[in-house]
Formats: sequence, C-alpha cells, structure tokens
Amino acid sequence: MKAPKLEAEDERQLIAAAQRDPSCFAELYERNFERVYAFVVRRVRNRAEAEDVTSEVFHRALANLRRFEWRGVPFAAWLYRLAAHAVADRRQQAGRETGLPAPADELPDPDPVAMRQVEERATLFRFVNELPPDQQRVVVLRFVEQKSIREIAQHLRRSEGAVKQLQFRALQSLRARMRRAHA
Amino acid sequence: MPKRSLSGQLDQAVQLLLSRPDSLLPSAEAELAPLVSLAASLRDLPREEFRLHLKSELQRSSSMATQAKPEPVSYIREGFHTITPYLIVQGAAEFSDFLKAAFGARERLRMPLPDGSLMHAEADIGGYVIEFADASQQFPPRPCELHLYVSDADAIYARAVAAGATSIFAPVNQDYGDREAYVQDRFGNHWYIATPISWTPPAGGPPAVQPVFHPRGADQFMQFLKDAFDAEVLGDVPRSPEGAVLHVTMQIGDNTLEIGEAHGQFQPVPCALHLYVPDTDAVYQRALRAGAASTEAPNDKPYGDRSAGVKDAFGFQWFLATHIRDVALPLPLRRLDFVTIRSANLERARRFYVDTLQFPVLDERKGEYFRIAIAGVSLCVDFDAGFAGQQPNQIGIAVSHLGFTREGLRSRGIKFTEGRRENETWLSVKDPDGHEILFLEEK
Repeated sequence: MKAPKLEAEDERQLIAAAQRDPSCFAELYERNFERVYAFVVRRVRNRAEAEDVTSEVFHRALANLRRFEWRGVPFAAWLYRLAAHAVADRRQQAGRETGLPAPADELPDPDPVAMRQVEERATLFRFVNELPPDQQRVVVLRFVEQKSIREIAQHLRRSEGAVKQLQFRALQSLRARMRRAHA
Repeated sequence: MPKRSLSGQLDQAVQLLLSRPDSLLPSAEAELAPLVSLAASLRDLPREEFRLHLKSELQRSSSMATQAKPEPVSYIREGFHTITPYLIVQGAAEFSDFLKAAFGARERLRMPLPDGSLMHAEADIGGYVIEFADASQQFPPRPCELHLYVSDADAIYARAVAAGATSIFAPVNQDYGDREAYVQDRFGNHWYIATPISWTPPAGGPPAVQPVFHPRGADQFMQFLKDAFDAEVLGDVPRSPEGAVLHVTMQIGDNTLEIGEAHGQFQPVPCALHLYVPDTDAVYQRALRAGAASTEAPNDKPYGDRSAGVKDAFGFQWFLATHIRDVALPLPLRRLDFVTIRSANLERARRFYVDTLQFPVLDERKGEYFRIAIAGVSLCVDFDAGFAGQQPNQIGIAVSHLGFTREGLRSRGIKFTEGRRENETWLSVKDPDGHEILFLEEK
C-alpha cells in the first residue's frame, strides 16, 4: 500500500519502475517537462532552439535512466544537470561554427535565485493548463502564438474588449494561484 | 481624456513586452505590476503541441527499448565451464575446508539446510568450479577422480597430505611429461596433482581441473560421449598390447576429460558431472538414444537453468543444463516476523499501545522492549533513551471500516487527523513518541 505524504518515496518508486520498464518514463516526463523547458528557454536564443534542447534532454534522460542512482536528490536536479550540459554543448557547437570561444558559464547552474525562478516559471506554466478554457485559449494565442488582440478577437468571435478582459482575468487568476502556491 | 480600463492598460504593457522582447519590463500601475511581470514570463510558455509531440516521441523510443531483446545469456552459467564435477560427499562443510587447505580453493557459494548440512556449494580452484553437496538418502555419495594441473606439484601434494589426504604415490616424473602425485582424500575422492615438465601446455595453460574416468569398456564409453555429447578425441589413443585404452583426452565444449580402461588400482569411481549444453532437451534425447537412462526429465530450475539428468551405462551420472536466464538467488522467505520502533519512554508507549489501543502483548522485557501483535504482524517497541522523535516511523494498518475506527479512537480519547488523496482516505494518530499510525480503509 502506498504510504501517503511521501513524495520523495513516490518519485523513487517511479524512477525504479521506469528503470525496469521504460514505458513508465511518461509519468516522469509529465512531472518534469515544464521545469526542463523553463530552465532551457532562458539560456538559448529562441523557441525553436528551446524545443530542440528540451527534446535532447529528455531523450538523453530516457537513454541513461539506468545509470541514475537514487540518493535522495530530486530527479529534477539530474535533469537540470543534463540540460546544463545540453546547453553548453550547443554553445560550444555554435562557437565552433562562428569561430568564437564558447562561454563557459553554463555548468552547472549554482545560483539558487535563478533556480527558484526556474521552478516558479515551471509552476506558472503548469497553472496555465488549469485556467478555464477561454482564458487558456487567449493566453496561448497571445503569448505563444503572439497574435494581436484584434486577431484573437476575430479568431474567437469575441469583441476586442472581451478578449482584453479574458487576458486580464487570466493573469489575475494566475497571480492568485502563484501566491497560494508560495504561501 | 478618459482613463483606460485596467484590462486596457495591461494589454498596452503586454503589447510592449511582445513587440520589444529584450526591453525592460514596461512600467505599470502598482496594481498591474505583478501581472506584467507574469506576462513577461508567459512569453516563454511552451507550445502544447511540442509537449505532446515530444511525449509521443519518447513513448515510441521507450516502447522500442521495452521491446528490444534482452542481452542474450550464455548457455553456460557465469564462472562455469562445459564440464563441472559434482561431488556428493559425507561432510560437505569439512570437505570445503579440505579444498581450501589442500588446493587453495575459494568457496563461492554455500547453501546450508537448517540441519547444517550443505544442499549445494561451489568452490573455485584455479578458475574452474567444483560443485559439491552433502550426501542424503536421495543422493548417496558420489566421489570423483580429478586431475589438477598446478604450478608446483610437490608443494600442493605436501599441502594435500598435511590437510589429511592419503598419498597413493608421491610426486614422480612420468614418461608422458608430467611431474605427478596421486592422493585420496578422506571423502573418497582421488586427486592427480601434476605440473607439466617436458611438454608445452596450450596458450592459457593446462586446465586446472579435469575429470578422469576409468570405466570398464573405455571404447564404448568414448563412443557414448561422442554420440551423446559430441565429444572429440584429442591426439593419439595409446593402447595396451591387449588393445585396452591406456589413456585418451577428449574434448566437450570448452573442457577436456581423460579416460583410461579400468585396471589394477584404477577402478571406476561413479562420479557425477554437471554438463552445460546449448540445448538440454536435445542432448537429453541424444543421451537416451545413446543408451543412458533418465534420472530427471528436462525442466526449468528456479536458479535460471533448464536441467535434466541421465545415468550412462557405465554408472556415471550427468546433470545436463542450459543456462537460460540470469536470476538472483531467491530468498527463502516465510513471513514478515516483526518490525521495531523506538521509544524514549517504554511505560508511556506501553500504556498507549496495550492499555489504550488494546493490542495484545506477545512478550516483553521490562525496561528493554515489549512486542505486540497488530492483526497478525508483530511490532516491537524498543527502549532508546536518546530517541526524541527524530525520523519517526509510519505504521500503516488496513481496517475494514474507517467509520468504526473513527468512533473507536474517539471512545478511547485518542486524537486523530483525517487525510485524503485520490480515492484513499485515512485516519492518522501520533503515538507518544511521535510515530504515526495510519488507519487505511481496505475496500
């Protein structure tokens, strides 16, 4: 029987299950996708590169999962290290291509403030999925697809004022959730 | 000029953020500033399509990894050769001591029975394994004749004799190029102890352990080994003037064995051998066709071998085996006997568990511990003066009805909290030392 309230134990069991049967990796991915993406996106030039590196990190994690040893350190810390390596590799590669020396400041990220910001951003990304559908739709169209209010209004067949209201309410709701999460 | 609505002001800031991604956060009214800051973070929001696409890509890779064939295992168990002598002796534990003292053997496995006898044991001599076990009614003693190649026959002979072996002959230079001695141990086994002196052993040295057979009818025995196990004769077959086989070396798999017609003091020793083959079932059938009798039909063993047994017409026992998978040896578990928690105040803990919760006491020693039964599992509460609730234990107890449990706890004046996750509900009680008891309803 699963003992309640033992999150770390839960994670350890998930990792052990995925080590035995890689098809259980999906749950680890679901729990950590936003974290890795939030870590990577601020360290690369654009969205396309962030997606490439995030993809690389999870593929590496899946391939090397058997080597992961549980020592009580969260799985996310291991993923962050893989991500820092992947970003550094990219920079080195870019440096070779441009002939510039690669910056050596990406391994590993020791700054606790920066890591807290990564965790906060990951939490924010997860909260977007919990917004009511119309607010969520506006957030995605506005921030991911970078559409104008007019374009969104046409797309959703709503007035521009209504779209601005939805955007405002979405941000208010996210703000409230973030405050609760950090209370 | 009319003042813009808050949503309008916010959108103006958002528009600035999106059009100039590298600029600082646009200024906004105090009420809006935290929202603008969140909006700045949302520019990095991942695409849902990407998240789903990557997930399905990983699922494809992981299902390929799951379906990938496991590494093939060798049909010979790790550490073994094709042929392993299996010695069944009276006093296997003493025999193990003899192997260590006489030949510097390293015991690599010991599986004792409750009466102290050994059901199975393995020792390594120079990289070759010897298996042995205590004789029983089912398995009467089966000694063996073994040929050991060592670096110094004289020294090992002296060690063997010192360890209790009886000398049959002391080291002599044989005309076939070995310096060789011959001893019998007190368990009935014969040992040739040899060092090559005038011949060059193959690369990797001569085999450290080689079984020797003295059957009656060596030619027929050789034919049986060829028919049943694909054995091959190595080199010449010297014969006596009467035509009897004096000595022959045959190869099966990666091992060699030696055969000579029974004569004089060299009489058949009815040994048992463990033979690893690529296909136990096929070799078992071939052995039967070649004249052996079945002692055990092929079957899968819990230690990862498929195994069968035959006895040949010359009295030798063969345990045929194919290693099919690597398994950890099973633990002979019966039940969970007890778990222990610590208490800084045994009297107080006893009042809680025995007087209030009314768990029956199984046994106790005042000032040291008491042991109680909780629905068939025993819990030991151990005295530890230094225990101050650090790393408390969690004890989960399945109950048939949470409502009755709640009332039962209330009637005993025990404080509890309730918890819920998904479709699991529980009552949580802290014992006087801070250990947590969870009552969980089992549907």
